[in-house]
Amino acid sequence: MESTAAPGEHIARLVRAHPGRKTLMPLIEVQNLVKHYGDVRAVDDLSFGVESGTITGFLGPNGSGKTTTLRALLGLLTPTSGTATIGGRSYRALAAPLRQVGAMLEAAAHPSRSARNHLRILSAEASVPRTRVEEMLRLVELDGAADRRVGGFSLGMRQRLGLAGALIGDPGILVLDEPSNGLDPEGIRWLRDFLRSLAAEGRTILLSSHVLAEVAQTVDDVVVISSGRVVAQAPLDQLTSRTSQPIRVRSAQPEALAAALRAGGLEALHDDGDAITVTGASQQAVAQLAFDHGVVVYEITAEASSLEDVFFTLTNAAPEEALR
Amino acid sequence: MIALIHAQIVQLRTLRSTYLVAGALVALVALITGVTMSEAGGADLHTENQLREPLVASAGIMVAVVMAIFAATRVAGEYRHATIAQRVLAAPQRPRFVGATLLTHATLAALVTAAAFTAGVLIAAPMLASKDLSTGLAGAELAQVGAAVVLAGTTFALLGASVGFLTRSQAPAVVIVFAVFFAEKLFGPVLGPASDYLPYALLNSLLELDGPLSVGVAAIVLTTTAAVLSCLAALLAARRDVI
Repeated sequence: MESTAAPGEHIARLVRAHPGRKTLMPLIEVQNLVKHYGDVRAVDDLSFGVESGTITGFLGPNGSGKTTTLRALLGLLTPTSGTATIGGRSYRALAAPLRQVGAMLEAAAHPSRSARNHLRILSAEASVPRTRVEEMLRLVELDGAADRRVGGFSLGMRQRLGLAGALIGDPGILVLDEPSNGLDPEGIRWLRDFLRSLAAEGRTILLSSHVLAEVAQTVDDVVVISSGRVVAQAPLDQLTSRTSQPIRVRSAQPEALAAALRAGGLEALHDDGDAITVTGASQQAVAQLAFDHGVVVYEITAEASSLEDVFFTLTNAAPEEALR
Repeated sequence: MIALIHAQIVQLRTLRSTYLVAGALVALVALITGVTMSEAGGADLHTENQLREPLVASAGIMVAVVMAIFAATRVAGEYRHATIAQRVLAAPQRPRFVGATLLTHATLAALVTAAAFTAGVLIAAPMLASKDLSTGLAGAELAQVGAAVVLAGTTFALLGASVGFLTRSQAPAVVIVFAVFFAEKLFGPVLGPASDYLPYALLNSLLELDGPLSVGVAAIVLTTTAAVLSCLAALLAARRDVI
């Protein structure tokens, strides 16, 4: 139980401080967004930003307001209050939206239409040449199924078609809602590499997902929401590094090391063998104490928490608690 | 707007049902005209007005109603298949998307009704000529009746597409198209002269079949009704959330 309390404190600090990247202007900016459905407050004073050229994971439990937020950002919903802008403008104010922002909200397509024809419609709407359709079919590896009806596609194929549709206008910004939904492990790996290649081209990607392990391997930054409110926003590595988590130290002189650490006011638990677990200190502090007492140390490891640990810690707590 | 209309045309062209419905309607009008004209010369089918009626009714009323249902189901189908979000993302100024959709369906209906009417006329003329009969449709009169038939199809397609936007669901949209017809029959006598301005009554007047209004008045009222409903559809589509 102790191991779940500590990361919450650390994340809360990150949320308060909003460290790093403060100098950059967010490309996507959601400010004090509120959306009510009758008495239900789906999104509750939500604010976050997405910086240019990053992949940002947008995480939250079912019903936390992820899809509502993305739809508000894309002008599909009218917020009760607050704003959601892309490059400082609302989606509805974009001159050529499909060539600026690509979106995949669900892998929707008419079941009787072929993949090629589905993309032809989108290419016409985006005013891009028809050759772009063939390029996209090749890019998502659907060129072999281009003339098959979408109704006969697997969920993975539909997701890839959705991605092709989002990219038809060659946009610099992608907004993807659960793109890994229904993908098998091979598909998830394909998606990860695909998104990475898109980010390498300088595109900005905001993706919501509930497959945390997948997000952890894909994103640069993370926004976690719960009950319609942001409970954390930080670069992924900062969110998952837990300086207050136990540090594992291995030494040829474990008893001497434990004594030195206790003398320094740290909690040190001598495990079996040559390992000691230290809590409440940084790696630097442990190394300095060992050095000061002339104890040889050959491993100091601060265990990073997984994104899943962080997610559950944050979303199981009330927003106020997580922020405290 | 041109891109949106182009996309709408691609949408219509890339589903077989478009060709099936259009082809079936033209074939059906041709069949009805052919079968009816084969019986021409009988006691109830020898005057010009009697001979015109099956041609105008099939090309005007039948095609108009089917095109209304077609437009309604296609528009509501965007909501059913959740593709409406893609359409709205392409045209965040939603009235433009609604306008492009309405315009495309109206144009398709105009083409189909024109083709059906032409097919009927081309079949009827030689059959009646062989019996020394005629519909009397020639020159300006043919153009006027043809225009009325096309206007019937166009306005009903607009009404159907608007109903599709308003209901956002295929089944209710189709039910409404039929329900209006039966409601007019049921409640028309109760409404008195006001019932002359209901859609199906206007259609009859426009096509000079049974309606009490002049063709001009019927055309104006029907066009205004379609325009008002189209504006309402655009207004609501702009305001409603796409969930």
